[in-house]
Amino acid sequence: MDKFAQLKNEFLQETEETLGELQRDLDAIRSAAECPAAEVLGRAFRATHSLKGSAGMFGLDLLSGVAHAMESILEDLRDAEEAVAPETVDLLDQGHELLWSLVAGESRGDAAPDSRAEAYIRDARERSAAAAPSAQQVVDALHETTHDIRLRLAEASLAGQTVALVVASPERPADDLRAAILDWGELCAELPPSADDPCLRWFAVSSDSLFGLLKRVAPLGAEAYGDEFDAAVRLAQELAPEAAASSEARSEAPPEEPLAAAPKAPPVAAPEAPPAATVETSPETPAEVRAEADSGLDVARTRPAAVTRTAFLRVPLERVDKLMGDLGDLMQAKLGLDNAAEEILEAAPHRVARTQARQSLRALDRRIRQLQDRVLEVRMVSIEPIFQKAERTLRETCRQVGKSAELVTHGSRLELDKGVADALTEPLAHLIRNAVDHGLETPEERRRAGKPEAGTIRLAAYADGTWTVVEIADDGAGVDFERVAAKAKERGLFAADARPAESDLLEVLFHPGFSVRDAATEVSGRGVGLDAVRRALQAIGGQLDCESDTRGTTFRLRLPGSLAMAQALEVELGPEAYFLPLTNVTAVGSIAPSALERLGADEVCLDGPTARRVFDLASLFGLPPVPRDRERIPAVTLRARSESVVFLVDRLGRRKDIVVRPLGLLLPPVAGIVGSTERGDGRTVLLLDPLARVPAGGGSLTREVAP
Amino acid sequence: MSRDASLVTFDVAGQWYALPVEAVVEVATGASLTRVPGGGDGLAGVTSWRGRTIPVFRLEGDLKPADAAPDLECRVLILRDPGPCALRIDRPGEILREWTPVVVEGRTGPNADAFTRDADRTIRVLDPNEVVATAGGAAGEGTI
Repeated sequence: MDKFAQLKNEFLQETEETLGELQRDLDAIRSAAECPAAEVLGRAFRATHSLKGSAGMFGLDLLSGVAHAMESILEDLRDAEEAVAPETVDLLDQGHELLWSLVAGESRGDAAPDSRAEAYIRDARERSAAAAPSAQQVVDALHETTHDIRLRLAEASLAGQTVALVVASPERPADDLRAAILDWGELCAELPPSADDPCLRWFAVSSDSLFGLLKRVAPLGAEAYGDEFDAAVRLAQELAPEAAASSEARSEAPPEEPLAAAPKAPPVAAPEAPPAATVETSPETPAEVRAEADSGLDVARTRPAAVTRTAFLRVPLERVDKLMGDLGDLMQAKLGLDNAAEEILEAAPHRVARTQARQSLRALDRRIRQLQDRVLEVRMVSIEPIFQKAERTLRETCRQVGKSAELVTHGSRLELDKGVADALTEPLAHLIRNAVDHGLETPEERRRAGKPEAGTIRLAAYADGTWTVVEIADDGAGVDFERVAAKAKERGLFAADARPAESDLLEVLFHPGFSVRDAATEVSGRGVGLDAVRRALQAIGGQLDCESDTRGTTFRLRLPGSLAMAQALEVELGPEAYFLPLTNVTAVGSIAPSALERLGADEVCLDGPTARRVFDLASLFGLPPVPRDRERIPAVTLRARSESVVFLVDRLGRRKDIVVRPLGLLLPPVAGIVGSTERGDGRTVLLLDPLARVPAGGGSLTREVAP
Repeated sequence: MSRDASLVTFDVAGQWYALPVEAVVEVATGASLTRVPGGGDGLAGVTSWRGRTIPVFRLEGDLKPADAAPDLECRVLILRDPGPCALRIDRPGEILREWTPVVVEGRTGPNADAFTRDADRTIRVLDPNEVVATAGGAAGEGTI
């Protein structure tokens, strides 16, 4: 990956964090009864301002444009010093949502023209004649430069130099202006007049101040802009390692003066400032550490802004996964060592030596497990940004369907595996839309029912053993079971005279293509939804259940604690071993063939008054069936949605902690195969999720039989 | 494909094939193969390579049915592009540093010269991307 692409990736990652912080400020602006605090407005303004500039440097025009539109709105709010109209906050929310969408598209590498973003920018331009022309001019001009020039400007900013854009109308004396700029500093780029901008434009850098430049060019009828480079300065400081390593320019900066970007953070008094390398505070990137070491400057004295930051290191997830994989290999090697050592130790004559060797092996085992736990911790991220996105989705959906709702969240401090978090975002957004559109009644219906017009959606996250549970509950009228039954019969999912149980009707909601809506709306009714949500969660070993009564509907997502490590049960099917995630296992044992019987289309075994469905795990995956000509057949019971399902296997193995490896993009997806791991002998073993292959059937999942 | 590129030759079910040497990372003998149920005819299984799980594809002419007893060990070519993956082979041959394409009468287009001869053998020259696309396309849920 070239340096520019690397910087862009880093920028996109950082922008996600910026947008999270911006969301909090927008929430504060919305909830402010009177004029929002100047600090909040200022912070939000600066965030959009920086984003606009940085995005412009990377040629992300839409991102830059939307940020600029938001910046203009925030600038007006800051100047107005009065209560903010709800529609203005809605406008900011829309912009924020667009920024998320654009950043996500860029991160995925499938950014496409976004007509909503284009319309947003167009509307904002029309709406706000007061938009700062200088800022836009700088951004536009940056777009016309090459990435080498942008890099040069960033390096100069990092070195504490003034970076400026000089603009003059075409009739001004270009040669004189050029000479004036060269007298001030280095002329980095000269932009030819274009159809969009007929002005003469130069980018220049200098150790002199902007005022020094203005003194030279203003008499010649030109203007100079320098304050719009904040973003470039910040970006360069954080992201341009080579530039950071260049200490020459920095050493020229007066030691008492912070560098160009520093004033954004409150200064820290030198005597109290801890050294940069302490645990509590550190420079923002390793590159800065290098640069500071190279320059020989006293960091606490010259970089007050940097040392106030908490110590964070941004690391690509892929590197953490590789570390995890290496640890898994280490664990496998350790298992091999255990086996070999045991044979040697059995023959060792000295009991004390044997004991010491075994203790050392156990200690090594503990250390490796601790190390694995530490790496797993590195993968953990807060669920809060996902909740914030859910809130935006709620507001957007309410606007679309003309309802009003409040989101109440619990457990936003919970952390979950990064892979799980990534897989959770879209399903959760879908369930929020579903709750608003289907779960909540219209304001009129709620009023008639004696409820507040605004509904409440409760979003809660909590840990349940090794699972992370997320619940989305609405306070609507609950599922209209009669309507669901009628629609299901229309579609032939039940016989016309069938009287399905409520639990079966809830399962119907997850049937592909099922919708109670006669016509699709902007939000739902296309029958693409809950089944896709459930499949997305199953793909990561999760589950999705639903319960509903007249007080509302609750969707419950059960998510694995980690995608990198799993406790698994080894089973054998024919000559091959497989693993089943232990999180789903509720019982392990054996069944006498005589206890199995047919009940309709299903094979079942009786467990008291309940009949549990039984599947041959091998047949389920297209393998030769498990032999039944024996006294008892090994079996594993897994919890699935509203039932427990029994799977017959050839042989049961041991429970193990395994490092889960993804199957890779080149492997065609096969339902029910969710990952792989490597056994001590070097063989790859597949991790199965048999529940993904269990047919839901058209009828009851749990059949009550007469006692 | 550049005719200056050296070729790695290999035999699968009595037919000789070749891949550009730059597409091949290594020839691995004794690779343990794990069958993927439901993986389809084009997928021989998966194996571990340098701490990763990679698919092992089989060529169209590799007639061993997908549901046959799995090979516990096999020879594979580890391919660099279109991503780390492997191709099951019976035996590797020599590297052809110079080769002349055989023009097949009536054949035109990008694959018209996808054959060469070495000694008495006719060798089919493969494009690694096509191999994976074809084998991957034959893989999937087809057999369940």
